[in-house]
Amino acid sequence: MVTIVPSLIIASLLGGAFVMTAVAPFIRRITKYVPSIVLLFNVLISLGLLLKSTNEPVVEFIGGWEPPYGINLVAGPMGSFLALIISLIAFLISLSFLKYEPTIEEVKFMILFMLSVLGASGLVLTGDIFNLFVFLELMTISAYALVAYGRGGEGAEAGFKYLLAGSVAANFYLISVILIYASLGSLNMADLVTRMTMLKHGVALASMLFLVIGFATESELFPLHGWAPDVYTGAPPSIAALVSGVLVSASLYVLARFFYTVFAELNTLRSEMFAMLMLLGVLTVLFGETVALVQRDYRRMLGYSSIGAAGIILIGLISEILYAFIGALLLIVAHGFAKVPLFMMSKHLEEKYGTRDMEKVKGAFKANPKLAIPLVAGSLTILGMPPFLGFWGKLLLIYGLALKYPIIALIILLASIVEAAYYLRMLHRLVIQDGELKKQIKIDTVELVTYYAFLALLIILGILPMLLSPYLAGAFIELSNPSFYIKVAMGVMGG
Amino acid sequence: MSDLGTLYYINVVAMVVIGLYIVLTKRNVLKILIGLDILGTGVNLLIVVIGYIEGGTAPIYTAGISPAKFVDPLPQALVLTAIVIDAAVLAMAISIAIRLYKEFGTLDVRKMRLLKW
Repeated sequence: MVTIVPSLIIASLLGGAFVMTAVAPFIRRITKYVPSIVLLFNVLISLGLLLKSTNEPVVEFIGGWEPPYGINLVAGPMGSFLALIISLIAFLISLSFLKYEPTIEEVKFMILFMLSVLGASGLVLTGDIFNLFVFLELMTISAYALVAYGRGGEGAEAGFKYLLAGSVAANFYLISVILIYASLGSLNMADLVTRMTMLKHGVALASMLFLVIGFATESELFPLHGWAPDVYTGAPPSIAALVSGVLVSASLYVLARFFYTVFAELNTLRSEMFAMLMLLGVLTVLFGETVALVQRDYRRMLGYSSIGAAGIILIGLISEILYAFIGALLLIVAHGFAKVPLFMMSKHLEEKYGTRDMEKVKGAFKANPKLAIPLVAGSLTILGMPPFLGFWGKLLLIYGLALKYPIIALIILLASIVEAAYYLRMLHRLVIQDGELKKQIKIDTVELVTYYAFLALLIILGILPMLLSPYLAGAFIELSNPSFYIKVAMGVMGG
Repeated sequence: MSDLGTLYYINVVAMVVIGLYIVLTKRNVLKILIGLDILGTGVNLLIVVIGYIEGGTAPIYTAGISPAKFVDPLPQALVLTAIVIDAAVLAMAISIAIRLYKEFGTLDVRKMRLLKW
């Protein structure tokens, strides 16, 4: 009987990246299969972890050092659910690599892609706040390079902006970690929960502020979102989708983890952090959705829509209401899945017409129904239309919020209407309106497979959302109940 | 807190503030990166300082020294990791700077405006 451990996810990606580096000079042709194989393996591993997570969650002590001394990887419901989503999105994106006859540059691109996914998976699984910093840097440094792959000056410019914002943010988070360590002498999340009460309020407040500033930057919250629209415009489309669906969601998870678990015993600090994050969330929603309304550039519009979505997800995650929390997790899935085909569409526009300006490519997809279907379906998911998964996400989120914070629920409802306005206008321009553009766009089969796989997942999960519900409820129990997390992370419960 | 310790903490704050100031105000890519490095070094110094004990010694050769005199070894392990990460970020930043120079023919960020700021 082989036991499943979370470090397999990390080891397989790292191993795959090493193998690719080693064999690329000799047998380059097979390297394009490595990311898909490794990520499929990870999907299965994290699925196994998720299935076990509600009864006997797996926790692993790296090097056999028990907490609080060593690093532990905790596959509770929350962590393994996000790891599964990350692996799944990355796996389906990596399918589109199969169309390469890879040059050495493309091999490097795939290696960086795997390292970035590795960072994101580690971020959601680790139970150690310094280890979290290492995974954060791994995730973002690879992402800077990936963004800089974007064509021409745009990619380099976006990569540079991302690098500046990201590394200042990471340094801020490091300051926060060090402040906590200097006062409490521990880096283990579960161990910190009970020690936190010994922290002076001033120190706690300072470390909380550094944390929030750091991770608000990473998760593109207003007013620290400056890098995001440029990255979404300048990066290669698949990487824009990766940043929007995976990197930002992982960063939002960290905010939620600190809010629910690490700071659980500090009531004053938590209410301050709650107020701050709620305010940031509401401002982000309002800002993102309003600015998206005036964009003519297809990808910039999607970028601002991603910013708005990050705000909505943040509000749901930290609301401490079961329904809103589950809604936010479903939105992470729905938004992450739907943004991949949406961002990839811009590649077809750019390759065919050399522009992303929606006014200039009217009717571009009218003669290409194969591409129009994923475009329409992805947009409807973001808008929260049945039968797609986004419907349940938005419904539960707004319903949950309306129970306790009716005004915020109303704001999100209004933002959804604005969202509907600009998405439907985009669909009208690109799919319905008559233009001079009647050209057929050449499509690769593997790309179509990627788009339709996301579509199928969105519809299956949209019809059967109850498949996920025990794990989503488990994630809520894990977060709202720090003693449960401590039991899991210290290895008292299960394997 | 000894005077020397306080001095280090002042140094940390100064380096972080100076680094941030440079990153936010300078217009030359390389100068911005120098600011980023100063910021990172300030944070690394903070990590070392919190583990320091006045007159302490490294916990390597332990005969005849009371455990209370050992400096905390964990921050030193952390700072090694952080230094390596800083070096990686800077290497990446400089290679992006080379690309920027190739694409734009300048290192002035005001002239890199393909994307709206």
